[in-house]
Amino acid sequence: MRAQTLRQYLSVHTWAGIVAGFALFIAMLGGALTVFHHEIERWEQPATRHAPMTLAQTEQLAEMVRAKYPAAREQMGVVLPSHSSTPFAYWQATNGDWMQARLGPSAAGAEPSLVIGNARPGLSSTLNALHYSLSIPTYGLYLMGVVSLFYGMALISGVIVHLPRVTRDIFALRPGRNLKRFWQDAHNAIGVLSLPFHIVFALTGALLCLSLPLMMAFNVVTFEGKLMSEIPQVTGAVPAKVAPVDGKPLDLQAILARAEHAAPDMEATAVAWTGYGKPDAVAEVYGEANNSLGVFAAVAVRLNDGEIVGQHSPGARDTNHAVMSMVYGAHFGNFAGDAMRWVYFVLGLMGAVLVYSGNLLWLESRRKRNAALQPANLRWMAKATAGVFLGTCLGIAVAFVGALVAPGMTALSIFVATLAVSVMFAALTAPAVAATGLLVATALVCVAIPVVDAAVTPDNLVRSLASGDGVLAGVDLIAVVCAVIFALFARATWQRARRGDPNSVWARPALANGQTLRDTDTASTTERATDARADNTPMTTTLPEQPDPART
Amino acid sequence: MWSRTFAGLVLGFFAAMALCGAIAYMTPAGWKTAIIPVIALFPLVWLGLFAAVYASRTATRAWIGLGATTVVAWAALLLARAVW
Repeated sequence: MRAQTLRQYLSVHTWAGIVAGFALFIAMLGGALTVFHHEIERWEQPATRHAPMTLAQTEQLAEMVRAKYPAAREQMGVVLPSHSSTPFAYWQATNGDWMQARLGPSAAGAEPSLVIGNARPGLSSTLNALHYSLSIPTYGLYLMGVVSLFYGMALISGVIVHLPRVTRDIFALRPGRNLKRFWQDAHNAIGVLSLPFHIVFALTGALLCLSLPLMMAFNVVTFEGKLMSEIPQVTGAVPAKVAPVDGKPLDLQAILARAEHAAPDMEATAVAWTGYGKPDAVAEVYGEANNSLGVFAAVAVRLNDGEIVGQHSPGARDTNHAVMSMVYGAHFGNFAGDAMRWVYFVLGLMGAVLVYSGNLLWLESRRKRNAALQPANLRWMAKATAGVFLGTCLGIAVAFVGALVAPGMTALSIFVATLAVSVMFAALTAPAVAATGLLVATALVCVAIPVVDAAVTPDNLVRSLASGDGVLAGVDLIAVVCAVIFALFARATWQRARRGDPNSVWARPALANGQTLRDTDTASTTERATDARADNTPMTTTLPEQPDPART
Repeated sequence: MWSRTFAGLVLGFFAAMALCGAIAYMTPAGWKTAIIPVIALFPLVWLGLFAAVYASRTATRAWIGLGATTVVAWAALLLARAVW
């Protein structure tokens, strides 16, 4: 390939990565954790950890919502207790807003209260919302769809750039003095070895986020306006017309029994009613099918007599439903049990490392090798990288602690506040200090997760392990593992700051002039130059006091 | 660079849209049975065409090449829609 073409792809790769990198990192980290959405959901609510809601309570929730909100009779869904430890109902209000309701705590014997909210407040839901929309209402979803496309473009161009050396370098990881080489190897190895999964994530992510705009575009551009009316039949299980029948609406238990009979391999996760109380009312039971990449399945039950009026599940569906189901399965990683979910968890984390190392490479390849004061754009990029990427890690860790310590606060507000403080901290200090400080803080907060779990809930890591409760113990254990990893990263970052090449944004700013670890810009003194290794310090110039263009 | 990007963004989009639509109309059981598969195919086709424009020697060639692809794709779509 011509050198000029390779350069083109390299700049496409660079800019796609830099533009989408920050959002992508949050998406990757949030997505990796969302693999264990229901585990975290159970962990974050100590009251219902060992007493999940019953089906009868779910039915009661649905009845209370129907009684209070007539719009919910037309269309409403509930998540089942088998799928979520605190089921909720969702419906669309007459003004088009999506509403949600849960059963509130109540005194024994008394009628439970209804907690209404159109936002999901919990930790696990917040992580999920950060994953698919950065928790931005409405447009965040489309933003992340575009970010997915950038991600896809970065993957394609990255592979093309790396192609000439891919066979030689695939298992190479060269630690040593040349840090750029090391990061490059790590970045390439992760990118190439997990490429198939990353392509799947990028494509299915774009599809899931942009399905509505895409359908609208196809409707206008290619299908002559005939597409939109087909969508309900193409994606759902309910046929366009249901023969009306008189009778009394079945209860949840009966609906689930009918669905189980029709699709024995499906584990029901949610039920949605349409036209409750009418002769043609239908309950659609959604679920996850075993042993198929196309996990997503549904059975439509006529509500008044329990007749199965529609179904799509493995072996009983057309191409449209099969492909849709596979898009879900391939993205969520819930198609082959817990082992595959762990694989997806690790792949998601690796994706975050991929994005992070991409930013580090961007900085490293623009580093001025013989100037202690790096250009302002590099310094600010380093600050942004430390502040946003590591601030995201810290924010998520603090949100875990906050979920138990301050259940009244929303996880999103805790996350956003922590992220804002982290970015401010990074803006005010040198990149090396910011990165080390945030890594240390994240490690400490990760340690605090099992500590808080032991302090404010009746459970603790030892008890959970002893009773074989893998879910509760798992969250605590992962926090401990993360604490160790973040501590190691902090140590490495600080060692580089002290002993690494002083001509770098990651070098520790000089302690000269009695200044503390501020972003001093007077940078290296000769003392630091001798401190560093002789071979990578060709000439260290002691710079006089300079005005900082970024600060003025 | 920007010229190529714009070509990939606009022409690539319409070429991919038309190609996916043509495939849907050409499936034996009719386009309604292939709606989701072709929508799922679309990002891949678009990104593929998008990435291909950067391989061209000049931006003009990128516009001509992708423009021709778009015309062919639309011809295929209109033909497939009329015949099937």
